[in-house]
Amino acid sequence: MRSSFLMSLVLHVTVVLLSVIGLPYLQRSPAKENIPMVVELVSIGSETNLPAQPYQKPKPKIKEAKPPKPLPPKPETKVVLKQKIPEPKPTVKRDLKPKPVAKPKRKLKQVAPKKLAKITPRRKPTPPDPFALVLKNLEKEIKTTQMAKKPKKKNKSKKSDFEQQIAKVLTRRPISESSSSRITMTEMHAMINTIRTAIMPCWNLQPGAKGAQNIVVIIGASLNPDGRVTRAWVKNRSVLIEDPFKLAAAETAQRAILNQACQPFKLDPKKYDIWKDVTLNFNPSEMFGR
Amino acid sequence: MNRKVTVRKNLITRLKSVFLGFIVLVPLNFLTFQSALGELRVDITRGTVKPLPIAVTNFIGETQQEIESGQSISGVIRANLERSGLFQAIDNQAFIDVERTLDTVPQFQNWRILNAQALVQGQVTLISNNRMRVQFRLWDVFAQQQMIGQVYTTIGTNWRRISHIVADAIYKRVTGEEGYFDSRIVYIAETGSLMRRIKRLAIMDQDGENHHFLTDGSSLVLTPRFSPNRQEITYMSYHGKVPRVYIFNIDTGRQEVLGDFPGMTFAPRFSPDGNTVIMSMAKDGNTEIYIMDLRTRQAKRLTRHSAIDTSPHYSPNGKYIVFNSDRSGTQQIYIMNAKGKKVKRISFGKGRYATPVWSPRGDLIAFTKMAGGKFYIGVIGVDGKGERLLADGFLVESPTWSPNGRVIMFFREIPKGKLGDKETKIYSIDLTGRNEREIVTPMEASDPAWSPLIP
Repeated sequence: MRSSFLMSLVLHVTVVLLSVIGLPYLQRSPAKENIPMVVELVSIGSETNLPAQPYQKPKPKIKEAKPPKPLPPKPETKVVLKQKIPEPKPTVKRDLKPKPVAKPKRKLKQVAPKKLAKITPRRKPTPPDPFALVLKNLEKEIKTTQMAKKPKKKNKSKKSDFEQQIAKVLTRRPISESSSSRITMTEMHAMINTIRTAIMPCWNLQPGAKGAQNIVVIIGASLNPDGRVTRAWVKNRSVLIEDPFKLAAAETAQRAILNQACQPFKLDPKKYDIWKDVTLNFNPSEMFGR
Repeated sequence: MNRKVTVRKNLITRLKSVFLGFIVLVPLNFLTFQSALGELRVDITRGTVKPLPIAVTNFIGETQQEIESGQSISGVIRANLERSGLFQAIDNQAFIDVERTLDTVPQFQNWRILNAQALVQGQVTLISNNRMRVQFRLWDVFAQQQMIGQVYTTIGTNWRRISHIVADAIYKRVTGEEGYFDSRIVYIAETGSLMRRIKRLAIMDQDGENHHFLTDGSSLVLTPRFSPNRQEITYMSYHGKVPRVYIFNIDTGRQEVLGDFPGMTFAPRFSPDGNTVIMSMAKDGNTEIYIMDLRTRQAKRLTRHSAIDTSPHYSPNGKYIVFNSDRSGTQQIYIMNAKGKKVKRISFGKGRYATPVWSPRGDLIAFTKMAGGKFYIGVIGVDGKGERLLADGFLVESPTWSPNGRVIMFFREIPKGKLGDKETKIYSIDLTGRNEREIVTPMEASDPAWSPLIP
């Protein structure tokens, strides 16, 4: 009995160690292999020899023999006035088709919390159960310390409980895997790579701008079950809006996610609960060799 | 004894309970970790560098004159944006249904089909006294919202300048950087054979239009430079047999020699506030850097070294000066403060460095490099790091920055068939080393200098 208990103990410790230390490591390496190759780098050396593209414009005719004249002053430069034009009034928007697009967004948004609300209570009660059992057992054991004979009988019954609980835990795995909201690390990495690979060709960078490598844009996006983006918004807009270049970088990232040419994302519809809302971090530092 | 046994059993029971807890919790956590993470997070660390597809519609108008003006304005805007290399103008022939008013929101689906990511619409209205009103809207096609909308009023003959201003506004809104289309180029127009070369000062818009000669070619002129805030150019001329630095007023055509120096003065440049000219003076085999206050006409020597110190240029904030010197044995780039102190070398690559020019953004210095029998145009950080070579050739020289510090213009000498014969042209190149383009001029051209944005 003792030897089997020890064996069981060793095995369990191994399982715990594997799950805590070993498994994350084992699952990280294949994910790195899936990262796609560089699409385009801003490399100076290779670009400098690009053939010149002459600006195709007819040469202005200038009389060479004509003596130089001082240029006439340009008072008209001061004449220029500048005013801002507001966007057209909303009455015009009735003609637009994008409006019906906006409605499903709201529906999706409303559905999302409901589903989560259903899922969370299911999960939450499960973890406290084993702890409650452990605490109850401890209390009972403390009470029975003065009576030596009685605990022996109880121990026997607990041993059977212990084995049953282990059996229950082992049988839970297939149930949890069947849920659409639970995926393995491999599946998650595949999902991330699918979205990343699709968006990269549509993310059009401005590498020549000052400090371009330091601007990180966070975009939130809602997706339809068919893998198309219904809505995208800049999450860290308040940080970026003060600087025109940062704002432009944010809008560039937003355009990348909204670009229909890079959609739909080929994702498993069964896992829609996982990818219906996505957060994308656009960080160009790697393209600048950082 | 019994008590010991009891404690031991209790310990075993507790251990069991703890392990039971682990066994139950660890797999559960592992299997459901994804749900606990919430939203899926994706890191995008790579993208592409492509021009932005933009649709620039012909600006609408009611009369024939307005329609023609609208087409001309749209054409200039389209050409400016395309020439920057950051935009790809979609062919007007491909447009499906162009809106005939500015007061409605465009049918974005018609523009998405063409893969247009930005849309420009405009209107020209001729008003009294030969004046015109030009208004435009820039739309984000994917986000379906207006990015900018402005209206300008000016005289009719000023349509080309309005076009540049509109193009600048679009460029700034999309890229976040200031535009550079409403600017001019002064350069040396060259004609004649190698032995009888005629060099004249010439000026034109950055797109090559509105070309004019400023001098008649009777004297050799070199290294023209714009004033940052006045319609003035400083340059070197061989007028009167002694090469000297002159100042030329573009509006009045008046020119005057700058200072009465005992030696040859050359390589002049304005300070950022336009009140000082910094230049080199060669005397008795030594070249030093001087400044001259344009208000008091007082000159002051900045460097004191037996080596040749030349090609000075102020930083945008006016606190530092970059120049080249052979004090270390070969021509290298140095930085010093505006008083001529704290000299520090920043170039350490192979070859010789010349004509350093500080970027208007302040982060980079453009230079000419000579190495391995070739010339290069390159940029380097103000700390001497990150040297990059952008263009090369048999002879490339004299870099000048666009007002926004994004584009560099330079000239290139291309050897021709006969011995010693050559052709000189001006080119522009993006800071990234992309989009090299020839700037077409009526004759051969060298020594370009980019003006600031026209006030």
